[in-house]
Amino acid sequence: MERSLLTVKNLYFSYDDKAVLKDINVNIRRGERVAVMGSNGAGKSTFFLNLNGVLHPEQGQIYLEGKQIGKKDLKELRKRVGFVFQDADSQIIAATVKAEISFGPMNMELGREEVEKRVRDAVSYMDLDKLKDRPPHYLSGGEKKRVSIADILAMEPELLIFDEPMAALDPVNADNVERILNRLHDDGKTLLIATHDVDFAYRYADRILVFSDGELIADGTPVDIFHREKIMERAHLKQPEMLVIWEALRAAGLVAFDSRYPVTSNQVAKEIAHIKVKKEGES
Amino acid sequence: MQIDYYAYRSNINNWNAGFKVLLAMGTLCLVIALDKTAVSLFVIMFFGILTLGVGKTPARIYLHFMTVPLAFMICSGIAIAVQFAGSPVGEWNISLHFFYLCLTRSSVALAAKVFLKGIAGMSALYMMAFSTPMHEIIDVMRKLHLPRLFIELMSLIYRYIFILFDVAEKMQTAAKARLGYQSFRQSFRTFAGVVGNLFLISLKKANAYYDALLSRGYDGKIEFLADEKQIRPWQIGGCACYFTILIFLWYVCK
Repeated sequence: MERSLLTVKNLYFSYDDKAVLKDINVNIRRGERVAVMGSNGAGKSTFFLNLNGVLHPEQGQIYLEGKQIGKKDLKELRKRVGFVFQDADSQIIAATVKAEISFGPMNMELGREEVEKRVRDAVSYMDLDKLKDRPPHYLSGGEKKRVSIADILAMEPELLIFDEPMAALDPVNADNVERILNRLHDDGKTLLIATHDVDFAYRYADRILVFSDGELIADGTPVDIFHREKIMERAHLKQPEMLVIWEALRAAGLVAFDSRYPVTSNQVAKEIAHIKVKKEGES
Repeated sequence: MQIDYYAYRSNINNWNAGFKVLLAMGTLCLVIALDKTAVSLFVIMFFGILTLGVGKTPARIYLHFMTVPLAFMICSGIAIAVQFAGSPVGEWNISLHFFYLCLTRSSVALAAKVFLKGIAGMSALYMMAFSTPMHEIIDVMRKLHLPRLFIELMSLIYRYIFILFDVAEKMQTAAKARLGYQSFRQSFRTFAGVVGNLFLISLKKANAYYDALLSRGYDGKIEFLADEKQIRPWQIGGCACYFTILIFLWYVCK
């Protein structure tokens, strides 16, 4: 089993008198792709801000690689856990793309050369070379999103948190972001992604955390979570389309009842083509 | 706002910002100090060619922005040229029954001189504004060691003013779509609503922005990587020639 990267124990948090997070216990392992789901106001964003060290838990502890994070280690936490905000505009503060990406590394007090190198790497990773001297207010939504991801990449965190990365993007840009998320996973990053898109969570994540009313009500594999009707009802989720189709194929006896669960439309299509070949062979 | 857009598209955007600020400010001081019509005329021509010819700022836009100070300068020009008198003095005068409006040759000359000086100063400043994005000017101020608080505020305001305008525009469009600006009275009420809401949204967003700053390790100072644009030898040469011509013109006219 992979080493654990971030552990949260008995975390409580409230705004004023309203309890927003209640007794959260999670252990995130290195290299995992975790989708975080739940209806609006379930506490996902507050949870993320706690993980990132912006908010401080009222009760409970956060451990980074087994080391408990105290008040003095917040900077360390912010360095190693990066947070890409949902609205790129609320993150971007500089007047050019390059300056913007340099903000995080500059705060980490690295040498100028190291900052330049990290900015260069982030720019080429996110394919922003052509835009690097442009001001953010003349960029499109998709471009701004890429800048806001590059912002965080330049800080080279081990755990990346994305708050609804595909929200308000057109399908092409949403696909781009998904490709970037895949690439980040291949490069060994640990990813925590808040999303409302059940189809995306089903095909992308290894693990899903479900929040409802400030509580973590389920923690399991996508196949497991999307078979638990009570949980889905409480968290305002529904079954992913590919899973519905797959279950129908199974119920009709067209595919074997085994542990295979195709997650993309292409995979399901291939299986269906396979059924046809088999049937023709039989007749 | 619009000036900023053209500044990014200018062909002289790639000149060193400090150099342009120095050129504009130096000119402004010299135009005032030397106080010669020939100098003013030369400056207007020089910067007109620089902004329109080299920088390729559209002439329509340039003239449009020139009309703003022009209105002020024409008004003040008239105020300088026209004098009130009890009797018909001066080369030209109009009787207004109680008193006379008089123009003398020297007062008209003085008005023209002041007017040209004003235009000269404006064309120098517009060369800077039409070719240097705000953030580069802020960088120059940073190098001049202006207070950090002042500089950081300026750069944040510069960034957020675009977001503010964006949100305001969206709200206004939404109000228009619901007939919010149909009558004069209605417009007033809608406008008040938009402004009030804008304030509340700003407060709410300020929190989100602060969280975003913290999450990237903000601890009290805002710093970015700034690129220095190179000053080329021919630019220094040109600049030296230009200032020499200014002094020479002044010397000839003395």
